[in-house]
Formats: sequence, C-alpha cells, structure tokens
Amino acid sequence: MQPRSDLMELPPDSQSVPPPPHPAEDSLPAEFAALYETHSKQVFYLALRLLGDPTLAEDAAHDVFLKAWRNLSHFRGDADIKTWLYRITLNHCSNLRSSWHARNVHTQSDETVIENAAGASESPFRDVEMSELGQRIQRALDELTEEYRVLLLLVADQELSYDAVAQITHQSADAVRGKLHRARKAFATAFRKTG
Amino acid sequence: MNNRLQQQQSAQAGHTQQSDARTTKAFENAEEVIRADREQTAVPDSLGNRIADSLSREPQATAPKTWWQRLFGG
Repeated sequence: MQPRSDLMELPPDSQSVPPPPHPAEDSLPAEFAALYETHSKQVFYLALRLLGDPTLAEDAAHDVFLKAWRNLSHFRGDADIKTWLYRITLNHCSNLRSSWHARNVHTQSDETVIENAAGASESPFRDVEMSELGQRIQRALDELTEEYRVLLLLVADQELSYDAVAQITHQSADAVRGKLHRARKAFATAFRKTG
Repeated sequence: MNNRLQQQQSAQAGHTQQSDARTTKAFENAEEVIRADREQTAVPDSLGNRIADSLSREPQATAPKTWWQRLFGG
C-alpha cells in the first residue's frame, strides 16, 4: 500500500461543501457521544498512521466505534476504556494490513541497518516545518516494523502507562521499555532521511 | 526617508522571522513529534455522522444480563 498522507489536504472545491447542520456527537446516542468525543481523535490518528491513508483511517475508525458499540455490554470494566479501544483499533488495522501482506515489506536486516545508522549527530527534530510534519512522520513510520510503529504511537499518548502499552501489545512493561529504545533510534534515523 | 525605508524593511524582516518561528518547531524526541502531529490532525467531520447513521440501523444495545437472567431467560 502506498501511503497517501497528502490526502489530508482538502481539494479546493471541497471547501464549498457546507458543514453538517449539527455536531456529529449530537446525532449519536447519548451514552455513546461522550465516548466518541473523548476518544475519536486518538482512534482516528492511530488508524491514520498505521494505515497511512485518511480514507482508510476514517473507514477503520468507523468500524472500531461500531465494534465498540456492539461489544459495549461485554466490556468488563477492569481495563481502561481507552486501552480497550486501542486494542480494537490495533486488531482491526493489523487485520487490514496483513491482508495487504504489508508485514512482509520490511525485513530484519532493513531494521538493523536503520538502528545502526542512528548516529550521534544532531537531533533530526530541530527546525521541523509543521506543514510537512504529517507527511514526514508517515514516511518515517512506514520505514519501521509494525511493532516499533505501534509502540511509538502508543507511548506518544502520555495518558497511557508502560503497563497499559504492555497490556495492549501483549508483552511485559520491561519488554516495552527495551524495544522502545530501539524504536526511537530507528524512528530518528528514518525521520532524518525524510528531511 | 532612508531611515523610514530601513524601519519598514526591518519590520518586514521581523514579521518574516515571526512567521518562520510559527511554522518551524523543535522537538525533544519521537513521541513529542508524534504528539504534535496528532494535535494538528483533524478528525473528519463526516466520521461522527457515519457512525451515528450506522448505529441508528443497529439493534438497540441492552445492558448485560445477570447470571440468573441468562439462566432463567429473564
């Protein structure tokens, strides 16, 4: 799949489309509106950066909230609802990606090269042009393995503890910390190449 | 006249620098960059309406039944 993060920019003619008459949350069932309002941004963004395509991300976020609605009565309440939504989003996007055989794009040797190439030169995160940020991040994330990509996207959510990330990704918190160090190096190298 | 022109030029230069400062940022690490990207990424307006439309066609969700309701069909 080719990343299409440039699609986030609306075509000129789309600006003439009037906004919906009511905020979307108003038309959702009351008990679900708060859930959507609180978590829609995180769910959509995670799907966007995992799939690399705004249209696919919107479809995925739609399906995630629909699954959440259907399974809300089975939500046990012993996990944070955000953790639960992230888990649904990851599963959904992972299924989509595996159907595209996207997992086979990267090899271990590719990853090793990226990690080893992370030198001690100055930070690639200086003077980052904000209008290019989304495209650069997408290109950098696309260079990483799915595991590193997921870890970075989850840890970037400051409300998630390492234990929560470990729970979502089915591993120990220590494993998360160890892999995160390598994921940061790989991302920094990949991000530098996009500049 | 020259002074006034210089003032205008420096004012314009200052404005340009200010614009650059607004569009260029420095970040500490990968997570900070991703957070900034997430902040400036908008959720499509159509998403909420699509979900609402789909939910309106779903069977009404009910509260989970207790074990005795499941057992006795309550």
